[in-house]
Amino acid sequence: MTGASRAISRDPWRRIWAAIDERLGLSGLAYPVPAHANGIGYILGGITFFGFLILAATGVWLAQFYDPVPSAAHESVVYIMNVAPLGDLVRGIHFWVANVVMATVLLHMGRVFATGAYKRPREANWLIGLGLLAVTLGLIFTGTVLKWDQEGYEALGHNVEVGNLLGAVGFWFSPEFTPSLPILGRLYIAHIAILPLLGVLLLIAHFLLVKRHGISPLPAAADAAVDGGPAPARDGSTFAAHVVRMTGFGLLILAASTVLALVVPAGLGPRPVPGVEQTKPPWMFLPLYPFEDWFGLDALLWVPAILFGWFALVPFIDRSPYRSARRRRVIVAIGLLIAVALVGLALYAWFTVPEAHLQEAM
Amino acid sequence: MATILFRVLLVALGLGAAEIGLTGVVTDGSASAWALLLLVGMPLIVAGSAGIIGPFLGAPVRAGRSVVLGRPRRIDRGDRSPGDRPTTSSDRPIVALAALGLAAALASLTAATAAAHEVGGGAETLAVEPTSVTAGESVVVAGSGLEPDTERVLVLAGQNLVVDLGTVTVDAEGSFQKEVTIPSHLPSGAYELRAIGDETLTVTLTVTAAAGSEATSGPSSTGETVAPRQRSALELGLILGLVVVIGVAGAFLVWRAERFRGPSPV
Repeated sequence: MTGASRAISRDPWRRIWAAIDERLGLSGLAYPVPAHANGIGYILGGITFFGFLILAATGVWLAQFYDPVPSAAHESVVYIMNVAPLGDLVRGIHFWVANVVMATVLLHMGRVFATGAYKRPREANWLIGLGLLAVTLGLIFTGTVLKWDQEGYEALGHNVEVGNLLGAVGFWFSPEFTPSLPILGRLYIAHIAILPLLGVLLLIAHFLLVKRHGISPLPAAADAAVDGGPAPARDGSTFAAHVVRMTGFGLLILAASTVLALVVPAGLGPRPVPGVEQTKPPWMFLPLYPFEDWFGLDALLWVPAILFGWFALVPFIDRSPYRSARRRRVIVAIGLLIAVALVGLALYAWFTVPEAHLQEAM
Repeated sequence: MATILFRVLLVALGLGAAEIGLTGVVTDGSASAWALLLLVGMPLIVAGSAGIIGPFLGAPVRAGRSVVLGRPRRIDRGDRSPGDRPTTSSDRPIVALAALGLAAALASLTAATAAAHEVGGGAETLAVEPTSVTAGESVVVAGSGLEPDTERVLVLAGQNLVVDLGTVTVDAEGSFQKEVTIPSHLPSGAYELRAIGDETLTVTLTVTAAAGSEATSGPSSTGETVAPRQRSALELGLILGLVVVIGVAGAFLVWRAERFRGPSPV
């Protein structure tokens, strides 16, 4: 036994940890953590991960009371809000954390883009991150439908129309896929099983590649290394400190979301009225709304396709080894313009009156 | 800081002008709307954005200082690269353009607001007669100035309640009129009668619950509406206590994270 391990054995907590680690090999998950990785910009991914854990826990609770049958879905959400033990609170936390997670996903993506962290050898992890963004959007979309109020019903209408636009490929999105289970039930399965499973697989790949490549260095340090300077520091902090700080932020999000759930409970609109279109989508989908106004439902296909396609190509367009924004002016300017445009479109959608998109498509 | 705030203000004004312009472009496609969008909104957004991202792209912020990704870096006189100009001279065209844009925006916003009022007060109207009714009785809904030969969905929206009143077809003169019966089970309250088409017209209708009806203006007991959860002081106290514990624990972990050294990476 070494001197270090003898010192550990005097601390009961470390003895417990050593016993667990000896059997599970958890320390094998650790990787070098530079000091800058504990800054808020570089820990957004970890905060997102803890947000997903909260969503999973609250989602399990909500699933005990939710009935995914169209005739009973809305009433079961009312039951959750009015009767189920802590139902309103848990649903409120689920709702607010989902919004926080969406924001941290976008901010995390923005940080990776701004610091050029998608560059070699991290191109694959950037693409996996885009996949996780799509999964997150899918979870929020399906969650919106599940509450089965007017907003959810109209969201489902868009889901079906997009399925029609996809033709034979969109068969799964159609109510005609099977008469044995309403499409609401299949979206429920997507929300609680298919998308979470896909997300977990992508997260495992995401984390494994972070461990494999390490946390990306600061752009200035990376550029200095390219110019013949010293290699960027790979450590300076510890994996444990990194995880502890992530956990701390996760707990803060949980506390803030609980307060929000008490003060501003998750909304539930009236039971849906078929043939009526009067709602707007949640904020993360608002930038698409003006395109629907201008170009019809087709825009729901090609606008996301163009956006995701462009972001997927970014690592292969921006091939220079430099990462500082000042040495990537064109790509950063394009990214900024897209961000400004998305915010502008969301504001436009926010302030304009709802329009009928589905009726026009029929 | 004042410079940054000014640039943010420019972007905000630009977005506002562009939004108003876009609204006009979509609704009537007038030249003034296009001008507001292209000549005021977009230049302001571009000028403001350029001012904000300029420092990130290497433009100087202040004499003797430069910014790389938001981290100030002192530049010695002998250490300046060609891109590290020590004065704000390169900002001047941006500021001048922004100032011009601001002046134009203020003038155009005034004109656009007036124009918007003119459009809003134009031909499209929706009226209901009478404006106050007892549930179970009928009202006449009339619209005019609408696009001929189109359909409108009539909806009565109240708190936690939406009632579909059917569809009407606008005649060749752009008008419609329909008598609709207000469902007798509706609770008392102020409702919004909507005619939904390419755009939604609304008018307020006051409904009084029918005599003998169980409906009330509050949440019903039928399980169809959400009622604010009544909590005991103990339950609320426990929840808030737990929130405080979680929040303090989270803040402590964020604050003292570096104390946790843990195992070395394998």
